[in-house]
Amino acid sequence: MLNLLKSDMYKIFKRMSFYVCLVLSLLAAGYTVWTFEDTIRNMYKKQYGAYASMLGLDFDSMTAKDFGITAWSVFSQSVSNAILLSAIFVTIFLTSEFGSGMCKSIILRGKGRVSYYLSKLVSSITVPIIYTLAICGVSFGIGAYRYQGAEWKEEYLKDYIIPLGWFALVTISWISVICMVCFLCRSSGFSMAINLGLVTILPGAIILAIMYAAKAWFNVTNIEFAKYWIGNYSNVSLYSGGMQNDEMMAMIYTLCGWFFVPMIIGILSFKCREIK
Amino acid sequence: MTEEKLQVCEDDDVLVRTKGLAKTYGNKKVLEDVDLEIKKGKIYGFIGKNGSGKTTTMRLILGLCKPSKGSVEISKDIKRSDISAVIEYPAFFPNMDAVTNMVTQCKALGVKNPKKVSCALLSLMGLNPKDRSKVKNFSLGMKQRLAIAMSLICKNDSSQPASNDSEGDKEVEKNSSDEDKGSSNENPTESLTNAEVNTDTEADLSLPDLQYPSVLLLDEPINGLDPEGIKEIREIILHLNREKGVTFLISSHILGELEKISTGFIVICNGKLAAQFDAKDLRKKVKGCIRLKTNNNSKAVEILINDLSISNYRTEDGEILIFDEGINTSDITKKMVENDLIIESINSETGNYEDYFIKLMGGN
Repeated sequence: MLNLLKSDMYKIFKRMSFYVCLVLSLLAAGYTVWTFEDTIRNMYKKQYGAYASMLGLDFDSMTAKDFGITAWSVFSQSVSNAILLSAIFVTIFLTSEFGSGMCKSIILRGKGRVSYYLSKLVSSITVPIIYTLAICGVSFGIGAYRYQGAEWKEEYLKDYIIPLGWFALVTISWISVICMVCFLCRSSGFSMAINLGLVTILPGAIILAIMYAAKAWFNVTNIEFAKYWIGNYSNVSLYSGGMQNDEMMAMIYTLCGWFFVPMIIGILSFKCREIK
Repeated sequence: MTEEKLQVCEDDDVLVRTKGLAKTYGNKKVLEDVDLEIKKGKIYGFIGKNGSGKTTTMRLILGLCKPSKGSVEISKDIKRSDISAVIEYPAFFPNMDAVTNMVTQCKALGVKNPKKVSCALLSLMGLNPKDRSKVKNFSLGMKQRLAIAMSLICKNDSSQPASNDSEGDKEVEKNSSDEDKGSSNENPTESLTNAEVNTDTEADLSLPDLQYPSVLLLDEPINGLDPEGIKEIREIILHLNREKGVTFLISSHILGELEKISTGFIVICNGKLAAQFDAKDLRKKVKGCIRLKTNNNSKAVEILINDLSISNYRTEDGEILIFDEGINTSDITKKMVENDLIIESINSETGNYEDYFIKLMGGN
């Protein structure tokens, strides 16, 4: 499997689409960080605009420092893009193996299908991790340049670094889902449509549909289905400031479920189906 | 977890054997009870009509699909990784160049010195390793050559000193990393010696760490090749077979080409094995004849029967067609001249393989 993994990593770094998605994620991150002050100002205006004169505040004249914006507070603001762009790249990467016939040419040389699947999964997992780290690095750099405040404080560990670790776990689970979809569909267009749908617009609709079905057919109203939906954990700011134990356990179970169940489905399907 | 379990064939001579191989898709029987043997060192022409089950047989041998019935046995002397193939269509990443495509495959198979091996195999197949253009821009023939080059990649022996391997690769890697950084003038092959990047086939084949698969299954390998390309591929196949002991199973509809290189034939018709025989048997099965025309054919027939003991003949359109074996035109000419007969024409014709195969394939 190590050889397959080496080959997959080599392929990832030789693919132009990897760098295109990386650049897009960095541009999005750069834009988000650069305009973060205006975003916060507009948010404040929207929320507290009516009371601004009563409170003696003039949001237009407030600086980033007044809003508490530092390089650290912006460094993980855009990491959600890593999931979207990883979904795009990983879908291209995995389905191209089927489209080009390379999957066939590896399997026919006696490489095990489980090894093949796991190699693809592990190599794909590195993609959002690289994107996340690159986004954080660029965001921090731009944040440090634009907003200053790059000095380290102990509470940042809990507020910004640990949440990033949780986010990494979420991305790993996402990749497992994306990988399963690619191995099930095999066609690039179909896989791309499903994966993009999953990471963007479908989650809300799926949760609503599940809740409706549970209520209508089983009269179940007391289960928070949203709590067990992987998309629910995709926002890094959720973990800022720490989590309660029960929240953390629910999250760990959810992420493990979303990692292992798709992985098992993907492996079983790949083992059983023919390779065209 | 790396290699799928296989049934072992105990026969020393046989590399791959199928036993009662059958494949059914829904209600459609694609293959039925196919028993074939691929013996060591041979080149098999795999013949059958479109949809007769050639590719399915190959796919089953390669483990790309599971048989509905029967089994595939592989010699104890080889591993599944020793069986390679170009099947259905050439497999590669169209947006990568040939060397990168080759290196991905080398890495996946655990080949040492992946760039060196890739360049050598590309040169062997008549492709320029220095050509950095994307494979999608290749002609059909070049794609076919690349696919064969990729199928020739085989895990090389670890018997070579590790230091040599790493040194060689270091040199190539150094060059390659320069290239990856955007220097288009640099090339991984530039660090190789002249002999190693020489486009001369002999030089490339003699690379010390270049190993080849034991069995190579080629599905329509000469599709899209120009006559010169066909000749080159034929020569490479023959060289690999004779010098490196690679056994081939080649499916093709170009019977003339198969006849030139095959030492055995496997004919499949409507999912059933129609015949498997050696090339020398084919020559017996497809008899040639000598066509003779004299100024007196009836006297000539008498001479042939009495003096040359010919028994298998017929007359047709004023000519005598002689099918007996072991008789040649010079013997006949000598006898005719001795008996004062004037030979108007005499020529030796080889048998019509094409008709024979078409008949075996279930055609008219």
